[in-house]
Amino acid sequence: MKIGHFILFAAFCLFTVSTAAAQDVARMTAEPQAINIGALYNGTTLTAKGSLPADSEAIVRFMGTSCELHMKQRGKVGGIVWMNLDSITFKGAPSVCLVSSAVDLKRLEANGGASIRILRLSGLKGSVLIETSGGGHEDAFEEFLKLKQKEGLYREMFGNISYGSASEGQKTFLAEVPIPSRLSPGAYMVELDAVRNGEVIARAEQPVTVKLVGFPALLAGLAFGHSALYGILATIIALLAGLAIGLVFQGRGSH
Amino acid sequence: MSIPLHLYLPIAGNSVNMLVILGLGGGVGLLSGIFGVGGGFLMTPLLIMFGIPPTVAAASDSNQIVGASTSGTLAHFRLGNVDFKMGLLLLAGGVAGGTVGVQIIKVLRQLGNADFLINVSYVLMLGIIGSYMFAESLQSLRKTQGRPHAHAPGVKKESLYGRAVKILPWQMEFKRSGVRLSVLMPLVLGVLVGILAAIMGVGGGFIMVPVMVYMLRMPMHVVVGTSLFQILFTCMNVTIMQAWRNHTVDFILALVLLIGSSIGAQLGAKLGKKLRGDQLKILLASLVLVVMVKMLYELLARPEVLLAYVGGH
Repeated sequence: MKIGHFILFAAFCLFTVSTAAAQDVARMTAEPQAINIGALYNGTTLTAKGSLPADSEAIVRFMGTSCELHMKQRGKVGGIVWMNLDSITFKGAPSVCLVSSAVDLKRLEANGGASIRILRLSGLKGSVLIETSGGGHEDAFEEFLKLKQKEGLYREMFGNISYGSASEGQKTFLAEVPIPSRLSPGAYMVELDAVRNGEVIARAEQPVTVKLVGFPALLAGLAFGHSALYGILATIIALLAGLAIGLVFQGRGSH
Repeated sequence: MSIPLHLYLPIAGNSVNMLVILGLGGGVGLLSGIFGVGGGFLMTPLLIMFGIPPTVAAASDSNQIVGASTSGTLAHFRLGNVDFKMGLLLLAGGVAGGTVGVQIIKVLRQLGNADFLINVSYVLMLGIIGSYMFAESLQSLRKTQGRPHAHAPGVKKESLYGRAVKILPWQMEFKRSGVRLSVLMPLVLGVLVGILAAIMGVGGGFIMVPVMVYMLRMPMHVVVGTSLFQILFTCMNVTIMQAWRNHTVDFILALVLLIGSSIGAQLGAKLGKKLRGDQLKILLASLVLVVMVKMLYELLARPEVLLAYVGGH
């Protein structure tokens, strides 16, 4: 009898766990999977859709690869003038970080949970290594965020994720992420985090490739592959263009 | 169907509105044509404002100045305003001075606080040149306007500088400029301007124009044409070096800019012809003073972000 009870209890546990596991799953597909930058590229919209547990919130992040940035810290000299002073290097910061959510992230963070903080722009602080040639760098990360946000490469957006109907513990979502025009070719990642009570309960991600095509690809190939030739050609074409415009004006002036 | 107005710049890594860039080029080209300055001091910060990285902005600007100064030189050549002999001597000095200047800036950077010294000396130099030009041309304008009796007959006493210039060896006739000078004058002054330009990271038109007017005593219209001729070669060198060593020349950006600036330079040359030398000088002096005030403000006001990318003007 005891064995029978045990088997029944074990079966119940297994059912409960498997049902919960099935519900705490996030799925996502992002389109386009490759962003082609042609001559007329001026930013695009990336669409991410899929499903996540019905009682969770979706946070979608478009992330660039980690890079190393060399900058100068600006400070006051002699208490009067602002100048570029010590060299500062930021290591491990993503080239792009666009964070999207359906509701304000501040509100989500206020509900508690360290995971939300990590997913926000301010959460990058833990993964960015700062090295300076001079003294302190207390506010350097905050200034770095300010600079990147000014460039449009770091951004927190809310309201650009909408949810569909829920069934079997899952709900669908649609995120429309505006990709900036200031984008470099390379590998990017679209990440979906399903958050419940301030904690990430499920994740999904998909890589997105950004590449130059057409004339920009040709020009970049020449500029980086045959730089001296590129410089000479740029100079000659500028000279000829200047001469041509000069001659056009001469023609008009002579009449 | 709408006309696509944006172009992606592969080296700058950003897209720009073509009309905005054409307008920027046109405006700066107009000033270049009128005053004989490259306009880098204006164009580079404007491009940075529109999202172009500082190093790409400065290098691509040099590329567009090649086109604009070709067009401007051609326009001034037709008007008889280019002194090739003087221009080549200044250029030779400028290249030598530029090479020395690059070494000086390396030493200054190693000593630390080089940027501070550069910026303060820049503000001081612009302030002194601008104020002197403004005062001198204002005085000259007043003389020519309402007081003909001010030109009293008699022999004008030659200054100490004028006498010193005459005793220098290797005197040469510069017909286009209408002056007789020692070959050493343009060569040495070219070296000095080249050093300053290299230290400050600019083309040097702003320093060269007052040097030609006040130290070489060249007529203002010839100064403008000759300055453009010299800037053409300086910027050709910078474009090739920047493209080769730093990969910072965005040709698409430069091409759109130069279409605007070449047209602007042509219009500027014609507009400049309608203005008298004194009027040109006072306008240039005003421009120099505006740039000085802008630089001073940047030095004194707290920047929006306390970080800056390495490179640029």
